Amino acid sequence: MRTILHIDMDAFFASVEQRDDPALRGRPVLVGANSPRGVVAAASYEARAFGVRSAMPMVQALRRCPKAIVIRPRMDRYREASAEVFAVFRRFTPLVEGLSLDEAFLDVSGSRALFGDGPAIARAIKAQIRERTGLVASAGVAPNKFVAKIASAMDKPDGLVVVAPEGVEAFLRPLPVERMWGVGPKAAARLRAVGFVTLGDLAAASPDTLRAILGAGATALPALARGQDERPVVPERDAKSVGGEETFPRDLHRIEELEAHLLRQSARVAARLTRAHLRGRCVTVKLKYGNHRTRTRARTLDEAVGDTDSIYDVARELLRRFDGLDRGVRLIGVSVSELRPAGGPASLFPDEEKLRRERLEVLALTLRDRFGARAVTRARLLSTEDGESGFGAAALPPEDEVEL
Amino acid sequence: MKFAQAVSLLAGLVPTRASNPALGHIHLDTKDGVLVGRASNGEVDLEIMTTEAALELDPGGVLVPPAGFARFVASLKEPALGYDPETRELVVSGGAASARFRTGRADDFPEMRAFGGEVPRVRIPAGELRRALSVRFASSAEDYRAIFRGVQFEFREKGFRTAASDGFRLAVYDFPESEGEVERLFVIARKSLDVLSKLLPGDESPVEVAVQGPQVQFVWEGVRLVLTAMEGQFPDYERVVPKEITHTIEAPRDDLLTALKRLAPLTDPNTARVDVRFEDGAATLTAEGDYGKANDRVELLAVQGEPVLQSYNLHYLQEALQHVDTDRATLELSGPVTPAVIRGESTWSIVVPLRT
Repeated sequence: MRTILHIDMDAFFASVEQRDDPALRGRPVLVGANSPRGVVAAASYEARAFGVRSAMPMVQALRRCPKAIVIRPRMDRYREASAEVFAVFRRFTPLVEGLSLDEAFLDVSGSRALFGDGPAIARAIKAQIRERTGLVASAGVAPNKFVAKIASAMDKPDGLVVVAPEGVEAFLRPLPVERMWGVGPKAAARLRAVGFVTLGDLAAASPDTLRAILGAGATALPALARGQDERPVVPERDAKSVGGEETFPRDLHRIEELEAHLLRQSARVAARLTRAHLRGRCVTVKLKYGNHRTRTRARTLDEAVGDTDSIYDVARELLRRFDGLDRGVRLIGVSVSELRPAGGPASLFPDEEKLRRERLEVLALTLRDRFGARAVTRARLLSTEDGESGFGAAALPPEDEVEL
Repeated sequence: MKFAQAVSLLAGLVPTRASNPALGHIHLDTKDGVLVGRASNGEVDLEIMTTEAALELDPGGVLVPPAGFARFVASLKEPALGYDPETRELVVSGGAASARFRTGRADDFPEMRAFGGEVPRVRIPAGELRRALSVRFASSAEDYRAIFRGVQFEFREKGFRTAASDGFRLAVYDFPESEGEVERLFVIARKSLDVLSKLLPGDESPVEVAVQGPQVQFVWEGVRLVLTAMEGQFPDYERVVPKEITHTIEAPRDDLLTALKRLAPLTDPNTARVDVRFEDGAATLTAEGDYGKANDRVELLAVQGEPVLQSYNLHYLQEALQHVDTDRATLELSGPVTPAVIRGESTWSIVVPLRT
């Protein structure tokens, strides 16, 4: 029988902020953009007491908790903390499947002889995370991923819920259908409307009935609801793409405005690629129009790129291939995929301009690491940073993406 | 060439999809009293004179479907051919078997490009040309800079050279003797040269090469192949050949290849890295990957220079050594991170070390 752990950091971004700034401890903290279109990326437990939840519009969150302190996300800081947490996971098993910066599945079946049973390993991991990072995690211990994930959420924060193999069905049966992985509020409402209220109801349902209600993807739900889940823990995969996107407080209509933000995103993506010693051959630009319709344009290059100018050159060309920019754009994103290591054999016929750009990228990154993020930037970006946009439309804090 | 073999070779060239539907067929016609087959994929035109006597075909010849026709003909021991002008069917029989293949009109089949008049020509032994094509291994199979998907032919006053590179390594073949007057550089796509390599006879019979505009024609014993040169300029590789050699190492090619083959499963799958340390008259090769670390030692035949460590993509080094046409491979180094030259007699390669 397998022993699977699901470890979920509690209010991760907000907890990192409270850890780093003692003045924030014990106070309601919201991480996200404080703007009309901002959303809550993370809320501290003090803020949650007011009914604030992640992904809630910031305006709504502040109505519920007017005294909340809003912090702009610091993704680099969260990544650092995440790396420390994952390093703890890997002390106990190599079978670690990260779901995001703050949660992961661990298959510890082969580690029991060394570190004790599942609950003992979960306790040790929680203790080491707290000792090394000052952060708190909740854990679920179960025979499979589905049950472990539900269990970790049952007793937050600082929880540890253990579901023994013989207790799986009894554990799942009374839970509301909303607990089912992949069942959101709309699907839950449709299920409840026809009498499926608990996971026990789903466990007894026929796949055909569920297909009729929710579509073909729902046929697996009865087995899951009975606690049958054979999916393996797939250890860390290499990133498939690196990207970033930003939502504007108001729709942008002019290509010159969009280009400035595109350059900013290109620079962010280039910095992350350079840090990770990666380059990529495919550049993609994503736009979300004012009417929320999303479109992408991509181009695959002869040679992998990883510096700001090379990414931006392609991204700008792609931007010009979108129609209807004058209708207004609310979000822009750039990503680079088809990644490969930046090392490898040097080119026999090096492109001197490309080499110069890559050296510049590394140099700029070194200066920022040493003297701070604002030590060096492009003149064109000066007006878009720190909310002082020359276009009167400073972007919300950009969001990083790593697709696995 | 026997009809069945010719049809099989022609069928292999017919593209599965073509903008001109006629190109999806083999063109049969009569010429100089024999049956002639033609096929084209747009980049490569192939014409084969068969040993089969001419048939009374429609003027301009006929088109036959490639795959089924070639397979049926190949299945017969002594295929006999005939043409029924009433039904416009090609009749193929052998033993107790026979088949009638519907033919199409050949009006839309493109003319084979002609190389008449004062076109410069050169003659090369077929075996030499086949060996010269071996540089193809160093060309690129990816979309990275189209010109790297080709092989450069350099015809000089005396002799010729082929060169190929994927941007990270280079392979060259030199042939000092040739008869003729072609003095030209052109690049031909690797895929087109795969066709040429497959067709070339195994002996040293002469192959005539002619160049006219962007077309290059190869002719031998009843076969005429016309290839289209690629657009673009091959990089000036002479400038990357190291000039200041600090180490000259002579190594037994096969021993090095055996060691590389042994270490290959142990390399890091992302980089295929192998470290080679030349010291004390031996090369120590080390590879380290997911499964562990391994090393091997090869005694060298001669060494000039101080101890030096270079890291290579194992597969690149392996292919460069396989390209060496002598038992003794000469490695010329000029430092730990500068390109290494690996020489045989008519062959040489450049391999760029991995960055540490």
